[in-house]
Amino acid sequence: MNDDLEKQLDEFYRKLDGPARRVEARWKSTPDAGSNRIAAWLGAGVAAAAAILLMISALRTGPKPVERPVAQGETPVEPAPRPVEPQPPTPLPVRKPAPVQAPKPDETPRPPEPRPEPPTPDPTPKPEPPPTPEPKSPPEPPKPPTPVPETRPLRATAKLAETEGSFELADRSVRGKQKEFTVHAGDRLRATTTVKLTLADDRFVLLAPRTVVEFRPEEKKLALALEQGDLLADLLAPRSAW
Amino acid sequence: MDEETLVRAARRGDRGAFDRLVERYSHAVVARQFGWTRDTAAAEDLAQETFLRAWQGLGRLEDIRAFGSWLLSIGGFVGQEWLRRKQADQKARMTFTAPAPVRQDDGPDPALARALAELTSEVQQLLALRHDRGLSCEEIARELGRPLGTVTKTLSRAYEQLRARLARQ
Repeated sequence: MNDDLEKQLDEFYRKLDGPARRVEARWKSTPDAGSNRIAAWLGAGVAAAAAILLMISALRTGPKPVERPVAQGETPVEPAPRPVEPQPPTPLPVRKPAPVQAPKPDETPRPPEPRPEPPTPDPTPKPEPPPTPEPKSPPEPPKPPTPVPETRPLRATAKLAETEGSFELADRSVRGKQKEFTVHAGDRLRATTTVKLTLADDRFVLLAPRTVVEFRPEEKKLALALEQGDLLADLLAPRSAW
Repeated sequence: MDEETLVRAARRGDRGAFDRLVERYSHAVVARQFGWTRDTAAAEDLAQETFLRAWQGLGRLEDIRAFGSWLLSIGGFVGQEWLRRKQADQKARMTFTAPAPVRQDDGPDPALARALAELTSEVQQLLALRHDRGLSCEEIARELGRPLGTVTKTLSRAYEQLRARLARQ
């Protein structure tokens, strides 16, 4: 019995010779798969990542040409930035006075750029830092209260409990009693008649006609500064009332 | 070169060593796939896929000495997947076309292939070593690092199972 079955099995495997040889041939003809394929994929992944990093760095360095003149105007070390250098030396001094108003938007991107450069030129980055802090320092004080706008609307404000009398404030004339009257830092109040400014229930200021006072910011508060004329009554704790 | 050495080399990425293993097991793998497909061309395709998966997953093989049964178990998965796809495909086609006629040719015995495919991977490996490579029981025991008694008992049990399955068909 076993002999028959064993013969059957021998014949069975022998008849598979053809397919088995073809499988071997196919396998040997297939390009290296598997572990090497994984290695190839890993290699491709690393290459792709490197390409992406290069693209990112290229994008970051894209805007640099504008800056390089500022940083490398003095250093004749690298060949690539030089073409841009000849132009900037002159604009540099011109820009410095201007930055207070317009260049602010351009300067925010600048700080990240100098960082990649430092590795090669040590002396060059030194000239760069000064330009950036200079323009930033003047505009920053008004910014804290409100983020974006840097103009007058962002000025500090205070509310006067009540005003009485006629006066001109910021090119507009005010008459009679005004409740919860808002004033801004830098506003100038010119009294046309005797003016009573009520800061609180028991705190007020009497201004003589033609007196000019200015509301000036002082430590997050507004203070009255007498510029012209006389105070008819003392100011009682004016700053704390605001 | 013994199988263990070949498997170790293949695990290190030696493609030539794995080629040698393919030569050793091509009959066994094709036989297993023929049990599922009963078609030599399809069996060749599945055998190719089996070797590819084995090559890719060689790092996950825990017991190097069990390479043969591990490879044939992969062949089992590949064959079962093929069978499921085939059955789903046939269900989809039943409503449109008549079933394909059963193929009659001079190839290997489909009934025996089917009975073989139902055996465990270890038993299939033993039968392949015995009847494909023509190894004696002593050589098989040496090759697999198992006691001779275990090999002979397993083989005789395999014959009984095969005979029972063939009688059922």
